[in-house]
Amino acid sequence: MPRPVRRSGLTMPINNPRFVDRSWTRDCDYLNFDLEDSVPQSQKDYARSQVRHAIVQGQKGAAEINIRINCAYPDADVPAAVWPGVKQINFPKAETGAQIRHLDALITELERVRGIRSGTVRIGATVETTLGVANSYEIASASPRIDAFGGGTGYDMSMDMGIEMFVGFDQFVYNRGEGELIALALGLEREGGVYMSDTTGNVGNAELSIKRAEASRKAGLRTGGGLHPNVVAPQNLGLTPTVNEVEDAHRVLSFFAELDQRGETEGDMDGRIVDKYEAARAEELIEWASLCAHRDAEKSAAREQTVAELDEQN
Amino acid sequence: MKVFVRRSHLLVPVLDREKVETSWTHNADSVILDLTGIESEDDRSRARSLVKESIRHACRGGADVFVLPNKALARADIEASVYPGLKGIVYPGAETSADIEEADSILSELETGRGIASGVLQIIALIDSGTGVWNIREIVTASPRVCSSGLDELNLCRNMGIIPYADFDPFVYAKGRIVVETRAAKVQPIGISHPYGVLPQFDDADEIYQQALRGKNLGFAGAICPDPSWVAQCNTAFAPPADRLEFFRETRRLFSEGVARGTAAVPYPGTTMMIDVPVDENARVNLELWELCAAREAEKAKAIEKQESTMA
Amino acid sequence: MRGSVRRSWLIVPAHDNDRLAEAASSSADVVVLDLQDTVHDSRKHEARDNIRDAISDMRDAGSEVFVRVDIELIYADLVASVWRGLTGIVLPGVTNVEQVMDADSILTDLESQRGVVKPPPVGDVREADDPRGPEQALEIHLSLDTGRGNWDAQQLIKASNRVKSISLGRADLVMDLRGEPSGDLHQMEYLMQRLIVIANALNVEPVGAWWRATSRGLVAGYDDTLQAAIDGRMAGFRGGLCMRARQVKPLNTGYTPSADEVSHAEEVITREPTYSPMSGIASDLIAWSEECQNRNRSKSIVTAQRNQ
Repeated sequence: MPRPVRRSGLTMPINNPRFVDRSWTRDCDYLNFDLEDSVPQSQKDYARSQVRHAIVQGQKGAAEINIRINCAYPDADVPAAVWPGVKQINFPKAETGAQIRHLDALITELERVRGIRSGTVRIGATVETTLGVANSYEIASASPRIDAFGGGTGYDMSMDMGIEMFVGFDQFVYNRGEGELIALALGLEREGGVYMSDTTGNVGNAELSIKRAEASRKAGLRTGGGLHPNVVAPQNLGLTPTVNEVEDAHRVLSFFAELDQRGETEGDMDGRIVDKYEAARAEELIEWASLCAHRDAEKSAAREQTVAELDEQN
Repeated sequence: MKVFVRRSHLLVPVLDREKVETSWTHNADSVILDLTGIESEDDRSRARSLVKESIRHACRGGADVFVLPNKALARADIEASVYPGLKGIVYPGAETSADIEEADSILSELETGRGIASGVLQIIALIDSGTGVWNIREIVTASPRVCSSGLDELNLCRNMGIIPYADFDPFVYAKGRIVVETRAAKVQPIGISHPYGVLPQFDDADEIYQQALRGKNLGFAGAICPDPSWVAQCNTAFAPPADRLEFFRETRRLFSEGVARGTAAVPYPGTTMMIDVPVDENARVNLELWELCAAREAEKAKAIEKQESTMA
Repeated sequence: MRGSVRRSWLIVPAHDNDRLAEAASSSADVVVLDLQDTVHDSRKHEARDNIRDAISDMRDAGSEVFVRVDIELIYADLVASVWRGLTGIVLPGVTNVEQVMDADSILTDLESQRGVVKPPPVGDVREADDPRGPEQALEIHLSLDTGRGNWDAQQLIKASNRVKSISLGRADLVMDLRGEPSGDLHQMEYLMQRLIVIANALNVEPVGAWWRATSRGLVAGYDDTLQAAIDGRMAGFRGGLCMRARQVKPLNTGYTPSADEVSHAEEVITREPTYSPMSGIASDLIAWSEECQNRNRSKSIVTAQRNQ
């Protein structure tokens, strides 16, 4: 399977048609329809009934469809969530490997019954408590459906740590470090970002989003996501390599090919060292840029088609 | 373990009688009677003989009293310390679960022998080695007596070959690991921000407050206070911020209104903030902690009142 | 493990005679003859052929000698490397305990076949043919370049008694950790402090320096290297790896306590009671400073002998 492109994604309450019905216009790489914390208890049943509607809405913009379930009710939520078109089930507040194995078994059975290719529905395990951080390795390695890992930050985590967020210094060095190291150890996509001071906690801060996304891209990270439509475009842009970077990567590759031909392992290209590591970075960047371009084309084609269909109807 | 409020642990050398006798006057949530750092054998036995009386002084203001024994002489020191009024011991330099299990069994034996209810004495695990940091999970889960754990930063420096400087924090990883593993085990992590963990200062009240607040925002629930000047600052910093209480109450009110209307994502008027379950939960947790802190203050005030009435 | 003074570990491509000559006059505490990353596949033979002589040249220059082997070519690399004068090997990119055990057993065989033991410290009069003890086994330095290697560091270290030191090696390159706007390498603070804690817990020496984004895989300039060494010492390292001879001096300098630090430590000792950790830290610093001076002296004795 090609590497998924998940630069931007909005999490939204699935019971709110205002959000769901407009979700396809947001240009998100993925949409995370929520059955969990943004849905009040009294609406959980209704929310479960809305999954198939949300899939249709989200697919109008070619976003990858994710469903966030409640960690307390996997048996009720998973059958409501796993339908053709759903790419990933997000499991919040993951604390043990057993939870993930149970989720995996539920999904496996539903794939069989509902005619979904076996093993294609991914699991996104989100660590949001200190116990989850402590058990990160067993969580991340509990199912082959998990292809990305990281995190250990956010509001729930702060509550469990007894801290106030947005106080101007990095409070999650350990949590993020554990998550990314485990992702690297298991060969998973690293989820996470570069710390940047934020003392407002404004979830719709486009300016900070672009800075953070660019810094993350330059640090080698590839994924994003958020709560507010304002951050989608900055993340799409910030996590996509620039034209100059791609050109530069091609130069690095040809420079390295020449080196290699001469039986050398390292050389100086305009004051920069080029070796097999720089070559590998360049190759990754070129591949990533082309995946991003492909993803962008898919999304705009889908949106254009949807707009055309709507025009026809009117 | 039941949730408790222990924001300040005032450290007092047992041989410094004046400090011991006034230890109850600083409004510390806890007082730790220190038996370490005593060089001569004579002084050591004198210190031991003073513990029982020292506990009486230290708990007069309602503080939870702990004793910090020498690691090498733990048994003798603990035997000299287990008397009514003692809340527990500090275990210095814990490295493995076996260390804690050994202390646990000494405490059990003494509880039985000295008519103290079984299992009430607690253990604060102090870590001063890479081994202890690495093994923190087995340490904090070794016994239900373990109530708190934290770094003994200066001894950790010594044991790891680190020279402490104010502008470099060598324990970002170690503190993160202590906070995460300790809280995951439902035990309280204690500590303060760099550089006060290695280079404490006592004269700038505001800076002490800032350091303690930063400690809280790293995930610590309280700190060991090497000097009485830290106590009031820690009591304030490790409690929820008083100026946010109104905000927390309003958050809870708005959210419950929203839920009644069928939404669990409620905008907070005048801000870009959305209240959802974790935001509401955070408000609830803070308000509860505020109540607990108020109750602890009332307890201590009552103890002081009792003191004054008996003195009068 | 607090043993030899190893402030600078200079990695040199073993096929490159100019770089070898440069290393011999670099004053590095340790020279690491490289058979791995810096040697092109087409040059591996040349490089292996150079090792035996290079070991004695570096030894004569007052450096301890390690060889960095390629884990995929370990047998041939070790056969080329285990000769008198070698102190140990650097194992890069290790991801499972079998690799460490395998290296250990090849070393054991070669030590036995060739009668090779770890030499005494540079400048020490003791001869290598004194009765052989476990402390004379060739060392293994684990370069934990990968995510898997770092995560499993504890098991990897325990896989052989020969493991006496560990480093992140070229983790920034192997794990692709790039610079952040702050100038730090992504995740390096976490990884370095974690490495130091594990090393301390398992009684091996952590090797490294507080490299920042400007280091670009251990090739930083003089000032950045000096700063990396000074910060590295505050973090708990006592020596770091580098890829350029010009970095040896700043590493040696940064990892040696300054005169100011020593006199400050002396003051602390007179002021603080002996049981206080501050006093202990100060006396450790003075002891380390003396060991560094001794190391410098032994280096100059050895090079003076050679020049005669």
